Amino acid sequence: MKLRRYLQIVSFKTYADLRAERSRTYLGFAWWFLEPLLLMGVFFVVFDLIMNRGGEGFVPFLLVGLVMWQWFRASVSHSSNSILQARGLVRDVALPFVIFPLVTVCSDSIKFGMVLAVLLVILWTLGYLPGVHYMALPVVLVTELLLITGVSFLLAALVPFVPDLRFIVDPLLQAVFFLSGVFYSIDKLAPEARGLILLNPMAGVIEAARDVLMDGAWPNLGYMAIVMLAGAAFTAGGVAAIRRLSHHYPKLPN
Amino acid sequence: MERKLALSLKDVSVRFPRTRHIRGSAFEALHGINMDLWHGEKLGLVGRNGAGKSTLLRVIAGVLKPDSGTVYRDHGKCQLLSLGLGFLPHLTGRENAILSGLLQGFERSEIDRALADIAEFSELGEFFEQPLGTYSSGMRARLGFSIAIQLEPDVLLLDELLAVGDAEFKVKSRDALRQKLNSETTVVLVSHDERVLKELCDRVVWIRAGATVDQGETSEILERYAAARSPGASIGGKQTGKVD
Repeated sequence: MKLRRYLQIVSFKTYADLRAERSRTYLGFAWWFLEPLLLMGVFFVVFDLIMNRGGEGFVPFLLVGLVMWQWFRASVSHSSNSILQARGLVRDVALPFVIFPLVTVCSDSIKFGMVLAVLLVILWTLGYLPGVHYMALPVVLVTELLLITGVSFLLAALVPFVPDLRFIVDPLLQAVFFLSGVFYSIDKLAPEARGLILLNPMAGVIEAARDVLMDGAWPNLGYMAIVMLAGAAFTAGGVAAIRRLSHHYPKLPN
Repeated sequence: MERKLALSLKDVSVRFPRTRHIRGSAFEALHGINMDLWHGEKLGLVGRNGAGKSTLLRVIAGVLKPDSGTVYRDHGKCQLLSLGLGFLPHLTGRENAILSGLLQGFERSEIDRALADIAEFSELGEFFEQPLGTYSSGMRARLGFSIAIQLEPDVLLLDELLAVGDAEFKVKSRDALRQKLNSETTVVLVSHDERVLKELCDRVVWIRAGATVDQGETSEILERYAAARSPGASIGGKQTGKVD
């Protein structure tokens, strides 16, 4: 069975990826948790202490936003490069190349899972207790995952042909970050601005995560369904693009 | 005994882009390749550097799809024996053996069964459980070779007979390869060494500038190939001491 071997490759390479990360630094796994905490510290200092714009509950507000955002940013940024980076293997083995971005998404998602677990504990200690609305959490997570795979696969498909895209991905992610309401609440924006910003699906997903985890409210399920469908369509498009281009990758000049 | 086709190439062409553009200019590395490979056969490939032998091996392995022509493939794994495929420095020898095996087309259960033999053949001892990053280059080569020789593809593709390691391991690896070449395995061997080809191959395919020139019984083809390259022959160009 080929599919079984492909799954074995994905799981073993994911494991290898995580191992690599652990062995490359002294603190290893600890960085998964320290990174969002450090970012949180920066935003807290700037927006709460200096600009005095934080207000009550700013720390958990920031944490939820940053954790959800980091998952998206890390996965997209890492996997957009994945097929290009694997060119040594691409030239020598017959594989469905979607495996490469998939592995990156898997390892970044496992990291996210661990960080999310810690985030939940922090939220509970701060008094944001779980309730019936947690039932919507899987919807939020699956929606974001589909967004991630959609953007990741499409970028991974194109970057080997246009390596210049790599230089655009990070600034673009930065722009989307500012438009995602990570350190401000899109609820407080003027309605027209809010409508515009919800065109960025990550803004909606992050707001939905806060609805569920902090406000004990149901997310806007209609909106989530649309984003989910769009994510699924992008993912399917990405897979199709990689398949379509797959006989070109092994031939690209190094 | 009835012979069964393992692989058959008809008018196979492969074009490589000169740039990253899909529709940019291209050069034809292979054009009009015709060859058959029978189950259990040992087939040699000869031709000068740049004739397209390695590209052809990659087509046979299924890595490259032909731009035109057809490839018929009987079920089964065709694997290019490549040392250290997909090796990662922070994984142990054992883990690299698993990863490399998976990438080369084997399932986890097949690899697990071969692990003990890989460990033994590589003579790595306790280093088998240490990260690859701590290995010397000789140890890496030994691990790579052991993985390749202990896993059993249906069709083994060899780009030159590889012998690795120190003098002792070289003898051992050469013996292991020869043993494989004398077994039931179907083998395609690229070599510049006429003696090796004569000794090991039933049939030879001669390739020039991306096209099959001739194929048939080993000594016959090698004779014609040598004649074409001898001084004064119209093709083949100037020869220096080393046969290529």
